Amino acid sequence: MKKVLTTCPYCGVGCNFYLDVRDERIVGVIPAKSNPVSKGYLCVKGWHAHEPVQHPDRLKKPLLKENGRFKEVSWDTALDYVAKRLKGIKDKYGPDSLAVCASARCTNEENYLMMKFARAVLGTNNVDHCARTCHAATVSGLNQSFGSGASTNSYDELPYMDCILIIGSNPTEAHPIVGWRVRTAIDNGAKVIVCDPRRILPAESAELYIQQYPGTDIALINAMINFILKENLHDKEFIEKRTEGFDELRQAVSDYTPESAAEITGVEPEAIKKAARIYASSKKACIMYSLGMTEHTVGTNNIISMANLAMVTGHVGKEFSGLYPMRGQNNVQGACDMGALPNVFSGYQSVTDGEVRKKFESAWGVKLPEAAGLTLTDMMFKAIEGKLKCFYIIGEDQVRTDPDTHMIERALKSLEFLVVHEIFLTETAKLADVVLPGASYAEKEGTFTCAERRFQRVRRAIEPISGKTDGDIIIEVSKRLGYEMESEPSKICDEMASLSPIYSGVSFERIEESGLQWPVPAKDHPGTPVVHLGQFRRGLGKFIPVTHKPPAEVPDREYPFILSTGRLLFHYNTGTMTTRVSNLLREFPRNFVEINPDDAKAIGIRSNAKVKVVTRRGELVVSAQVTDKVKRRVIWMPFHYSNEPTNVLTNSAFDPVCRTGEYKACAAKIEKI
Amino acid sequence: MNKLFITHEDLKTFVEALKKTCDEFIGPSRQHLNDIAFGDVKNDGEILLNYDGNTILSPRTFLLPQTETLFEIKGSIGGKVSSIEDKKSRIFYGVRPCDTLALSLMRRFFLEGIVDRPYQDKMENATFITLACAKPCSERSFCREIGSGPVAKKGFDIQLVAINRGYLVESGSKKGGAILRKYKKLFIVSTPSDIKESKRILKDFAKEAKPINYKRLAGIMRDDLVKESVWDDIGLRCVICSGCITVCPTCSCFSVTDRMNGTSGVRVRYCDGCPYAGFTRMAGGAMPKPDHKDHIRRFFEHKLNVDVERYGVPSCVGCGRCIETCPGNISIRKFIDDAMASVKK
Repeated sequence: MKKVLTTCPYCGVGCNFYLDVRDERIVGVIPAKSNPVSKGYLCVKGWHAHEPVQHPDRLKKPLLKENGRFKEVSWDTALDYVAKRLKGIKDKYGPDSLAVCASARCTNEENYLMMKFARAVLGTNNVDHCARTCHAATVSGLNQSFGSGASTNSYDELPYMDCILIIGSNPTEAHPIVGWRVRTAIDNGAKVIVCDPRRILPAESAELYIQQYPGTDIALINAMINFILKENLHDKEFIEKRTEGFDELRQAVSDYTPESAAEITGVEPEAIKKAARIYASSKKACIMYSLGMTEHTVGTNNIISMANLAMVTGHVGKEFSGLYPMRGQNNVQGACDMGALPNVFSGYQSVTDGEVRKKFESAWGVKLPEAAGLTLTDMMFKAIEGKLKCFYIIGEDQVRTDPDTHMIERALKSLEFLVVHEIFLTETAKLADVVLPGASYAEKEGTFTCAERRFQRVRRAIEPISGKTDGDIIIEVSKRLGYEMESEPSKICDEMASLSPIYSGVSFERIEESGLQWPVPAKDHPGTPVVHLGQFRRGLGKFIPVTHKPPAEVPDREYPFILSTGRLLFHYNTGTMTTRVSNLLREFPRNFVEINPDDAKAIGIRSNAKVKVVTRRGELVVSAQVTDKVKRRVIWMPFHYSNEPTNVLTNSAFDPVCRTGEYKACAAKIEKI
Repeated sequence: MNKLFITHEDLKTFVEALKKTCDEFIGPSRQHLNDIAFGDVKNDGEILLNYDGNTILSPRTFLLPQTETLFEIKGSIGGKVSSIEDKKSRIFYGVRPCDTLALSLMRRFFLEGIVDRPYQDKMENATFITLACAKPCSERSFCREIGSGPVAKKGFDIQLVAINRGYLVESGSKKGGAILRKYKKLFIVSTPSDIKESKRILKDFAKEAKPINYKRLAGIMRDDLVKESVWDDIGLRCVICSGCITVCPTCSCFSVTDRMNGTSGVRVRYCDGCPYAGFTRMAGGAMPKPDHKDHIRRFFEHKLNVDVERYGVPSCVGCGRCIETCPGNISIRKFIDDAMASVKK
């Protein structure tokens, strides 16, 4: 019997709990009161996080596809085969015909190995991960405005805010233990402003609820800035001392009066003015956002517009302020940090910078590729074009998570060779030539980094069910390709720290107690709860004018609805884990579409009626949920159900800078069945 | 009966001796930083003979674990079912009075009327040593007001009350009495000044506590006199984390599911309860109580009204764990005040 303290494997909040292990079975979780992130609180997914780990559906042996059917093979057979095929493709078509998809579900140490594997072993910068489909816009947007693409402040400041502007984020359902802090802020008297196309639970307790149309956020925020300037509510001293480019911003927002924005956003001018006034005149105010802002063709600009708003009012670069990008996966922050991105090594060091490359070349003892690699989005297009031949995917289910499923299936089927690490046989794994059974969070040692930039420990509660962790697998494939890698997680962390200035002070020993928030530039540095104090990472904060641009697809006569998608409290992404937990599945067992009562009446449907949702890319039959949570002409669906996959409908149009797809707005129609 | 006394040193000897008599010795042990949780200190970890505060979870986690395998299934038609029995002997040490009361309520639920065999197996082989509280364990607990602490009145085999020079000891059952007799060399009769000291500690503890008139509260709830706004607020706060029903030492609800791998597998029972809509949803989606606020009301009604009728006391024992883990900041203690104060006209 033992209790193993570890970090929750679901969203990016980073709660801690003990796994209660008795006779090699994990029977429950015990919340960790001592943890600075979760303080003894958990959400329903966390309370059930032990259940999927030892589920009988777990993959236990490698699977090799022969004549279209999988057969179980030994580890040696599978690994030898994978190494042989990777080498064959590399020799025949060159290193850039291969790509690696790292995993936001895996540890930092594993992600570091994966990006090293792509760069040092395969010889390509074609490495990316699912941040591409969520917060890549945050990285690209905040980097331009502030010089660092992560959360500016820390969770524990939230309960003391005077104003929290929540836009495109549903903390109660998607990040519940940050939601607890929002709840506490409200109980402490904070004014919460919720801007969301869907009337989410926090809206019920908010000072103000704004229901903009999906994809009109820049118009809304620019109008707020316009009003703040007009009313002289801006922070002149902050703008003068800490920023540049203000005149260009003033010019750009001059066209966006609350009245003119009302037409685009569908929001009353008075509400926009009220929101602007509350946010600007509050002493301690912050913005919390999530994929409602990033998953648009204007994702990067959405983020920049919020950075502009924060700088105009001086609500950034100090305690009790800032931007809180709520990260969706347990280690999506860490996978970015570790350089599982096509353009940077760990610590956001550019692959095109000769000095940086030289440093990694000498540490790793190999010549490294010079040009930035392909993003996940572009890997799919290149696969269809026939330029990309092989894809090595770790713990990702692109067939269900990426927009426009049919296109993704076509891309993966075009490959010569597909390897997938998985813990359950997902739709993506089914398309693979080789499936290598990975390990869940409960079977490995390492670290995750949560949305407040905090490194935290992940600890092994049971031995890997398949015999190997994902890190072990990478190391063994690498060895077969003639390259030895360090296998001890704490030493991998040390290697990473030695090569990455912003994580120099990170080590397992130092994060043992309560974790560490990066930047940690030295061994004796205490970590950084608030970034940009006194000065932005880039020096002066930069105002970058951005303008409204409608989504790639807008409603028309044929497709009169705007379809938006999102997450439910009870499920996590493609549901491979949460649909295997009885309590969670029972709450929401099937897919559905939310539709406004007026629209439902016009179509002639009632709640629970079967309807067909159709877009230009696909169609899906689901039940209707008639609700005033969404306004007229807007419909909403979750995306968790593998057998009723919402992403057959969504649009793969993407942001030109960060290449994130537009999950949050596309044109759709509903047909009565 | 006269209370016995044991010194700090002899208590160590007593515990070491008891460890040899059981399969698992479940005692409080320090986990990370200040976290305290029950663990098997016979085979793993250090016991805390005395400690401040309370364990994160109550002993319920050993008697009705969050997930528990009940029996093995082999083969489909004409297959075999063999029960998985847990008959390990366990001594629980350091159980708080609130949790001790909870155990006696749970015993009635699981062992009177329809007997729950897996629970019975574990209870029959369990011994409970209660450790009375010297000071409140948290700002959220209210054992003094609900009447479950700082000392247990029943439900224990042995109870210890810490005083300066050692512990007062009393037995609460035949089993407890037998154990004390077996190790009688370790115990002496307590002195009047020991008794006086313990009374003073317990009096200080309960100084400002005003007992909750739980019979009146149950009446208010039974007559549906609580203002709707109180329930509305709770309904908006609850984010269905299921923490309250998992940490509550008296929640007994569970569901079962089969974990099959082909035609073999196990039947598992798992913690289930009020907050879930699916807990009472019927075929076709019909809900006897469609509003979410009524699901939490069900939880409160059970603890504070129904069980007062059934057992004569509420089955909320005031441990405060549900308050400490609620991401909606719902407090059953605050609810009690609100309910008493907000009686609708």
